Amino acid sequence: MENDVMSGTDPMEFNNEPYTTNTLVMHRYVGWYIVLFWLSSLLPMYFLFDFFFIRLPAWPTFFFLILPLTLIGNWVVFILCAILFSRILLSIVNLFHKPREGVFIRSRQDKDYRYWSLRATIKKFAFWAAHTFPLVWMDVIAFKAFGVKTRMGTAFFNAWVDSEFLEVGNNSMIGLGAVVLSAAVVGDYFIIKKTKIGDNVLIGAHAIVMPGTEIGNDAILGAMASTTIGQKLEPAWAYMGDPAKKFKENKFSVNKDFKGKEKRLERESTTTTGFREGDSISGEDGK
Amino acid sequence: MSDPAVQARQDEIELPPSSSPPNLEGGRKKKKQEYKLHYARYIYSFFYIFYVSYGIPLLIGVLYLVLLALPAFGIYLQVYPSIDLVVEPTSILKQEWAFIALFTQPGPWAYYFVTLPLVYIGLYLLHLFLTAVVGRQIVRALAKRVPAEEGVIERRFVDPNPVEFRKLVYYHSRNFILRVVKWKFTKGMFPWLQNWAFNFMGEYVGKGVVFEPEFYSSELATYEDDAYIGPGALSSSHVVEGVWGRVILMKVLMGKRACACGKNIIGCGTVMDERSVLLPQGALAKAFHLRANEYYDGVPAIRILPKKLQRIYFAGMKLPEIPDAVFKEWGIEPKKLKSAKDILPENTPQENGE
Repeated sequence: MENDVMSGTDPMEFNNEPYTTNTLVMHRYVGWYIVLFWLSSLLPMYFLFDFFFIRLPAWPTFFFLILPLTLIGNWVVFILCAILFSRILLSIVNLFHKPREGVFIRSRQDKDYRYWSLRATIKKFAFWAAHTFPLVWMDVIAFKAFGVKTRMGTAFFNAWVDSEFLEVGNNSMIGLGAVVLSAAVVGDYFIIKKTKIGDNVLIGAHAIVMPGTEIGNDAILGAMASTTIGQKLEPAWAYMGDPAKKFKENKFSVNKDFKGKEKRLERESTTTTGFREGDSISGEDGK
Repeated sequence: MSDPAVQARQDEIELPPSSSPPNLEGGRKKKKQEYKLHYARYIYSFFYIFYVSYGIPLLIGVLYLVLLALPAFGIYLQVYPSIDLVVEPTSILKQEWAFIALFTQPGPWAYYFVTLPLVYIGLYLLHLFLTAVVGRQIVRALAKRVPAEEGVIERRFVDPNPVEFRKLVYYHSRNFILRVVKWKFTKGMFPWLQNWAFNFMGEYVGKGVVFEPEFYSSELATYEDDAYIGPGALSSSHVVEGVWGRVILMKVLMGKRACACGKNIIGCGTVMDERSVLLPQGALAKAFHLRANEYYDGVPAIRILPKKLQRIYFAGMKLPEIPDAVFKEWGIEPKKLKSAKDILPENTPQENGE
């Protein structure tokens, strides 16, 4: 059974942090940002004109009653336009320079660093627009539009999560204020590596996951812990510390026998959560 | 009979009588100071910034809309017998498929419709600019009375020292305004403008400095060219030592290309020399000095030896050689990081601290 828990129901979701870097290698990238705003606001602006000057004077009572719905609808149209146009522009940019993993120099002379900054600037507008909406699903739609493999139910609790070279498994939870990176600046170097987070993973509050980290199914990364670049966390283990070290086995992993497992599985299969079978990070079976 | 001039001089010299009666211990009872945080000043300042920064762009926007943009669509402002917006029967908006017609039929509406989003952006930028201008005006006025300077302020709310107390009140007031301005820029649509805003408000921010979100800063901070403050990292030039303790203000300096990778705490008085790196989750308390071309990690941060850095933190990755031309562009002397000396082979298995 697919897991589609709506994480936006959690009251801790403040939904106020952007997910893309503020790095701006060239000032002219802001031009694309303005173009995206311009394109995205034409259709909502027309709807507003139509509503206020044509519909509302014609049937004032009815349209006054649906005014809040209209405003929210326009808001959603604006965000979806922002995501759509950003995606199109991103695809065009990727034709010129395909994103790739590696270690680069943090310098404007480095092509990969420049294009990473450009991609982030393009995506920033869509994420900024999505973050203005009170429900978290808009963020997840934006994530999926930009190619992050995740589910609608993934809980991004006000965390900083990079928006490329990232896979987040089913039923995983990223804690409040955590940072999940697939691209990081370390001194003079700039590192891009794909980060994989398995199923049923819990990343604690204020933890930091560095690029290239692979977290196995049912693993736990404790609060305030940090992984190193390219670190592999074994399935069904809890890790703590900086850098993260094995702390103890996760006895409540679905791959282990623990007291009340049957009840838990039954509850999850009949309510909202479930676990995909045979769809885990390669070579990690939780044994 | 005494000379009136001498009498007047004696009156001047004579100390004014104390308002407080003598106490049983023989001395005079000190007048109790009252703790006031000057909330009225906060509220007035906020509304001053709010009205000026929103009022002027809003006025320009409404005038532009009513006098220029809407008439192009056949919508006019009627003032008599009642104030209302009247839509002409021939308005382009009343046509079928009006959204297409706006672009296909020749007329002034196409120009106004297409340029309206850009006008919005212009007004938003004007709003940000006015926020910074008014904020700086208030901060400068406050700084004239009590300037921002390094030191230790006693944070005592019961019978405080008047001089210390004045410093404390103005420290709070200045930072309240700085916070309003910085919030506008960091959470706004153009977060890159925060570099300009910090410079405008009196801090020094060099070229190419990157402030990722969740960044906090107070006054007395200097960020030189290409410094990087990563996601979740915070730098602060003040620290409060206990609720009833002291506020310590010390300058923070991040040198050229100094880097806080993420989730760091850069405490007050920290000096990060050029190209020094604070690895993720590393924290600095008060007055730390990070040496140039070195890596630091931990709580509190300690220097990481090159071998450990390569083996654990960089996972044995081969780091690219930085050409001299790039050093020239950065404006610093070519010098290899110490960690680059001991590059391990690419396929060396990592241990990851297990």
